Amino acid sequence: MPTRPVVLGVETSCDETSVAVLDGDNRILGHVILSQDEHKVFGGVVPELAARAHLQKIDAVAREALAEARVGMDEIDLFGVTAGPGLIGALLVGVCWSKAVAYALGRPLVAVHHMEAHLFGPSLEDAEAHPPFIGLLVSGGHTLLLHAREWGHYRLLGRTRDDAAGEAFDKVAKLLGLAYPGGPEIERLAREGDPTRHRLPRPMLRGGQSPADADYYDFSFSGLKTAVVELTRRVEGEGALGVERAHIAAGFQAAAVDVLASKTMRAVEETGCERVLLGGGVSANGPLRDELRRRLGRHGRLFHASPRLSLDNGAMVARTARFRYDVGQTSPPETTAAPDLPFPGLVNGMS
Amino acid sequence: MGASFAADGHYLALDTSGGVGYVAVSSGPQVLARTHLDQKGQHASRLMPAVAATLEEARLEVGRLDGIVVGDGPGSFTGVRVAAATAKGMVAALDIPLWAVSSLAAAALSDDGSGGPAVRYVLFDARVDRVYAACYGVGSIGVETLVPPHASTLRDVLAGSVPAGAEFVGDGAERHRRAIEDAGYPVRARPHGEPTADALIRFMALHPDTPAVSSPDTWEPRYLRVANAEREWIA
Repeated sequence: MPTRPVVLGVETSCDETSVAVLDGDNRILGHVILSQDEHKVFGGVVPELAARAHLQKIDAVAREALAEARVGMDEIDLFGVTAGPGLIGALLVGVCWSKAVAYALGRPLVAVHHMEAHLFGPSLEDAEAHPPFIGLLVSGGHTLLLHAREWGHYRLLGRTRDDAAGEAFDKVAKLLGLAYPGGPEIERLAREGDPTRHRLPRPMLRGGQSPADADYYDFSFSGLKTAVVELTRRVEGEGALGVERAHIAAGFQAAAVDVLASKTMRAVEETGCERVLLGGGVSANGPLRDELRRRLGRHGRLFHASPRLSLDNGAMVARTARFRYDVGQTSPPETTAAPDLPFPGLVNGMS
Repeated sequence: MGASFAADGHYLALDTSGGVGYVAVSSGPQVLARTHLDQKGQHASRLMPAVAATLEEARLEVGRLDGIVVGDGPGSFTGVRVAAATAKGMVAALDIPLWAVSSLAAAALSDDGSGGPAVRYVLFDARVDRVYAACYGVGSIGVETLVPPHASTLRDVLAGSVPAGAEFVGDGAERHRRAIEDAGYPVRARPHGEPTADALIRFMALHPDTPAVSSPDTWEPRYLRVANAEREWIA
């Protein structure tokens, strides 16, 4: 096995089928991300449709990534695949396919945690995006705040207690009659609105909170979503939804961004670590990036992936597989997918 | 891919559409080794080790395989995909042909055929009163499809045209044994009616000119039913 392996990464945890090839220096040689269109009509991801689409597309996506990389399948030294968390049927397609390819070629396989992969995403484009950092991972299924002192060793500071941030964006978008996925639609509509016109709640964000409080770093978005539902019904009853939609979107986005940025800055202040890494699909939100950058000021540093690598993608999976492989970890043929796969190296609490 | 199932070729057959999964390795029509996956819900974790163990028992290196035969459903959506994704991955890595055979047809062939010609109405349980159904005439010269694979209810199957002399097999037939027998048809218990890997090999041996999947890259199994969300959307 070469010390600088060529790695193929496979991602099928939700509604993106993606395969990437990285060279021995973690440079992206080929990378294809296919976002499934099948779900738009349903206003959200339909798990069975996602799984079927992954199975139908995975070979073509892999072939295209290999062709772009000018690498043959038999030249891959190591395979990585997202094994969780995510939609079980969708995950299983990638896991079963990857196990089969790795076995047939006699190569090692590394099962990767999807959210750890999002931590590695920015490092593919910025060599400085490495620990130590405060990691804010925000996606449709997760909202996590952690302190990474080194790769593979993470302290969990906070997490959502109900809806994930991206889930709240999607649900509010649906409520306002916007298309799926909701994040970009909310951001677009919010540009036309006044974020101060409707003051929406900032759940778990109060004056006088201290790190000893259980909810100091935690998030909750269901209350915010409920407040938007009630506000929308009220203005709809007044016949004013048409003119208020953009203001509601702006107010919701401002509240969500305020909570995410405030909790992140609490972690910055408490740890003294002024490096923040933003990952997950919601990391593509411009106002969230801008607000974090503003609050970090001149001394701080914000890392995030480009919009393309903010999507679920195979490159971050390949990069994470390479890290795990380098520290001696490979996955056995019994490996399977797990929708609630534990985050490797994540321990609770501040120290 | 114009490949034929050859008498001297080496093949891997897989089916995980039902509660029990099946793996076999053959030399032409002769099964050299087989493994059953009898832990329901564990097919994804156990299939790959079973493939490795079965090849080892057959003393065959994976690189010497000449093709893969996969049961292409219907059945549990996730279960069908476990074998399908595994087969697609191996075919992509080894650049060998893929044959997709109906799991219902395999179930019709799941005995050794020594009992002579028969008419088998295969029913796979699809929960509540729903079944996946197909009827085949089977014998030493091959398999003839009399009623093609379809998703139905037991009531509609029994109210429809049941070919003369049909005996019902499969886990759906066992589940609804009383209603089928009350309608005047015999039900044969397992192991009859199981989509075994041996039966996939037997199907290919009887029909060696079955075309290989023309484009394994885009091939997908025959689910026979749309997803619930799609069904509700269509309604």
